Amino acid sequence: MYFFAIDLTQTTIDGLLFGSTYALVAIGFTLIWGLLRILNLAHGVTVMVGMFAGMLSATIIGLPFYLGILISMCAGALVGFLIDRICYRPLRAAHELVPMIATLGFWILIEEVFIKIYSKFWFRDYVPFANPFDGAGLEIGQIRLRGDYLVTLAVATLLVIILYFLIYRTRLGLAMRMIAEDHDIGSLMGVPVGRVLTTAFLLSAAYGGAAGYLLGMTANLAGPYAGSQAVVKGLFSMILGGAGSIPGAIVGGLSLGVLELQSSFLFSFAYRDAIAMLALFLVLIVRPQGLVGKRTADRI
Amino acid sequence: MLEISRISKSFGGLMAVDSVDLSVKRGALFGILGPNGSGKTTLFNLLTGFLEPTAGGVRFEGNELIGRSPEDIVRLGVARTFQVVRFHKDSTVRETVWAAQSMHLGLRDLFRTIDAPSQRDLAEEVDSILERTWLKPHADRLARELPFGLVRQLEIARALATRPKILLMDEPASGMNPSETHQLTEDIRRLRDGGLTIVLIEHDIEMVMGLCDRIAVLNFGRKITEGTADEVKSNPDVIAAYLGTKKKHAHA
Repeated sequence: MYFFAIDLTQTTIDGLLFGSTYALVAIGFTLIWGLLRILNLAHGVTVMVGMFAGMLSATIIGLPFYLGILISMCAGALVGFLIDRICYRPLRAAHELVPMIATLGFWILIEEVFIKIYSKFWFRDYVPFANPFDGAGLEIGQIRLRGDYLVTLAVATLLVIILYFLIYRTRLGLAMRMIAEDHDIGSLMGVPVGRVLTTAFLLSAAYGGAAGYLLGMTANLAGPYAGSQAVVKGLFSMILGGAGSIPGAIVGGLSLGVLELQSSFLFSFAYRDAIAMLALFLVLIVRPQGLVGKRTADRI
Repeated sequence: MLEISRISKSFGGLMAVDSVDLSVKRGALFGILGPNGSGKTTLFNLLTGFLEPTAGGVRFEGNELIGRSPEDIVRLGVARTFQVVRFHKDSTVRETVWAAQSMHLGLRDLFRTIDAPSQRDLAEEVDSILERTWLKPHADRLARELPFGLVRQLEIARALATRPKILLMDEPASGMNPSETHQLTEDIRRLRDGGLTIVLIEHDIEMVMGLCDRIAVLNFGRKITEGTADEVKSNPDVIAAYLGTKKKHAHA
């Protein structure tokens, strides 16, 4: 019983640490959802591109961790720029489903093209991703905190603090909050809506890129399907926590991390996703607005 | 400065604005008068890019405004206040004006905080706008907690923060008591004397007559006359369409 309790605690802590990557992905989703009411399905592409940019810089070039993260964020942001210019801007006057379908198309197109290119270079489903923190860790009594998980949590925390600073202290953030509340009214409030939204896409995508790096590093692997997986995990986290809410994205991401590892530990790895989905289903029956979302769509 | 030529807008079969020509000179205080439903607000919506006209054009300082987004039009220097006021619910008065300043700023300024040293000039500009619109003592109150008269002032402050060359005001006196209206009249005159061109929509005849140096009258989407206050007042069409049917205080 004692060892079971230790293992349970260990799994929960691992889940919380690892869940911070999901939280980062969910933040990217929730920013765009909160501002535009668009499900940016192309968000997974930013994660995949971030992961491969990280793999190139960490494994192939051998750059240090912090530079790799920055490169991944820039690579992600570049994808975000394209999403804004291709999927959102030309279609913003159309029905809100139209840009969402455009992001779906963007996702499928980029992923397919990437897989074709990928399979010319590598003949495996995964390529190794250098993990400088592999084996490192912190022992607290019987509990062990994995070094790469701790770094992941630290990066995610730093990015969340930066995001909160941007949203609650800067002119950009105020403009974003105004647009989120009333999308049509932004430009007549003197807010440069187009520029603010482009910045939001860049920000959202940069966070996706960082998540891609961290996901690759903690798994020691980079794979071309990482983007699709991230879309599922990120959407799950966002909806579990409450769509459009940043605290919701964080709570949702961390909960998903714990849920996944606990269901692998308590039941079986094979049922991991099924159990997570069941949990989401039960939460949504009780709280349709998500764990921390407010009933009256109070966005961002 | 602002040239409106044969602009029309129909909703279904109804001509909301029917082939209206207007020309506003720099430094003018131009009034557009008309009963409710005469197409005044629709005309503003056409000028500011919220509606596409069925026909006609609008030139502002040589630029065609039709086809541009509301954002572009604000950036060219055309600001507008609204009849129905909407504010972000969690922002203070100062923040509201501060945000409205963003239109002309570069990306770098967007990432600055309200009290950043590099933003001092911009913060001073906000202060000066608040001072001019009587909002200085209320700067740190939430916008939604302002009494109604001051909410109207905040509308004006927000428009001024976009650094307009021309200000389109949609019934700024609606819902105001006589002393507030009197104050507003003074304020508008002062803005004009400060170099701003102003176009004012009103159905309060006395206010427009006393304030504007040129007045156009709309009825059923058509311009029925244009001229000075005295010319308009003595026009038989105006009396028939507006004054005659509604007596003197025509609060339609």
